Amino acid sequence: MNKKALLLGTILLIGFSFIPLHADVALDIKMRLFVGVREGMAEPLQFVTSSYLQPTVIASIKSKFELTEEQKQIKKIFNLKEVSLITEADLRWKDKDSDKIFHIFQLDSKEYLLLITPSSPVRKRQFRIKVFEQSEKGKTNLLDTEIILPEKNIAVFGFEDVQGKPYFLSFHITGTVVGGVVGGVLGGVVSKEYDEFAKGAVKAEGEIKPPKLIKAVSPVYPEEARKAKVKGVVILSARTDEQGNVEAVRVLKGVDPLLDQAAIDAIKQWKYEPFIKDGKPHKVVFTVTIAFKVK
Amino acid sequence: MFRCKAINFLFSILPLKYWQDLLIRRHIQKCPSCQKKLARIDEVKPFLIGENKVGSLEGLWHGIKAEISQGKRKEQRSLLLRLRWAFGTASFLIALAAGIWFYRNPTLVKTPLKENLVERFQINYVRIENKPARAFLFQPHDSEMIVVWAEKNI
Repeated sequence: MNKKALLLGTILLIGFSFIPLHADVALDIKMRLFVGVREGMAEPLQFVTSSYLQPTVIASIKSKFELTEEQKQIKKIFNLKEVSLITEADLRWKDKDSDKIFHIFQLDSKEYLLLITPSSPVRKRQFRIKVFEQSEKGKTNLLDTEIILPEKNIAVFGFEDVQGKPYFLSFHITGTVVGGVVGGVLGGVVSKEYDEFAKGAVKAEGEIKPPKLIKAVSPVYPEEARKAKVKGVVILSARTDEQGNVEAVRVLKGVDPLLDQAAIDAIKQWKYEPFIKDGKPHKVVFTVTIAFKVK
Repeated sequence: MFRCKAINFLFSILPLKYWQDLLIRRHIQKCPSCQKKLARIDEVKPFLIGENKVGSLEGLWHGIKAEISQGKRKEQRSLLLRLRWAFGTASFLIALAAGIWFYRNPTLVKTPLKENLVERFQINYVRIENKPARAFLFQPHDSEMIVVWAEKNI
């Protein structure tokens, strides 16, 4: 009996040793993209359509670098009239996965593609960053760089598009997680709600482009918010029906209930090109960023 | 035959004794080859000793008591021995499992997380339109922000 128990124990122990027991290291990065306005230049658009963002991470990670501080520093260094946030995303890689992350956004009838590839293992914190501008004339590489990013730093890359408009891409590490999940419970709850939201729709992520906006209605700045000088950027998840009409909207990152509602009311009146996959129209989920500025 | 041995082995590794007994009994009731091996009552009878054949019962219980206490001592010794074996085997198995685990995750042994981190910002290259570009670095005072402005080489 004892010999048999030992034999069984050996088999189980060897079996368990083949299961990866080590704690996974995950790396979380916050990426922000800004557009700069030089003196005499036109104001940037108030809204941007971009790739679908995973809401769990957005909801749970608080950045140690304030958005306003980043904008202030960029504005000061480059003597700009204004610096506006276009889009932001929280990116996560597990230690051994070195998959490219695509983030596509549409601005002024042009499409921009951000491609971030970490070197494996991600604990090395070495990234290749590429930015492309896609227009009717073709694809232009605006930036291609490779960096090693320490946890304490925030790296900002400034570059110009084909027309000479300045853009700023910032990265900073929000966490190196050894095992576990940042904001586990909160993330789980949020994730379930957003899973329901995206159910039955194609997620515009990776190489799947978000749909093209064909009719937009500017959000109405609530008078109460204007008087109180409430401003900021609202990031929302939107879902279109098979005809391209926005049928549902969820706030991913809000500013103030009044501004959030104004953003929702505006987006619900927008129309996108129908999303066609395999010859059939589909519902699609993606992200919309709306900036509210007090003049 | 082999099937019976396999079944007996599987029964013996079950952790609950109650279930072992029940399952073995049920197997024997159904299995003709196991039933053949069982002795019939008339075959067993000669081995049984009746009370009348024992003779004087004086000193019988003392003898049984002595036998039991000797048995207990033997049992304790063998239990100690088994514990030593179990401890030795468990240590060996833990060392073996740890060895396999480290063999499968060599990076964890060679490069602990902290040692592997680079504490300095580094740019390996900057290119625009697939050509090397000029890069200007700015670092504002009292800030951990590093700003790199990239522009085409004219």
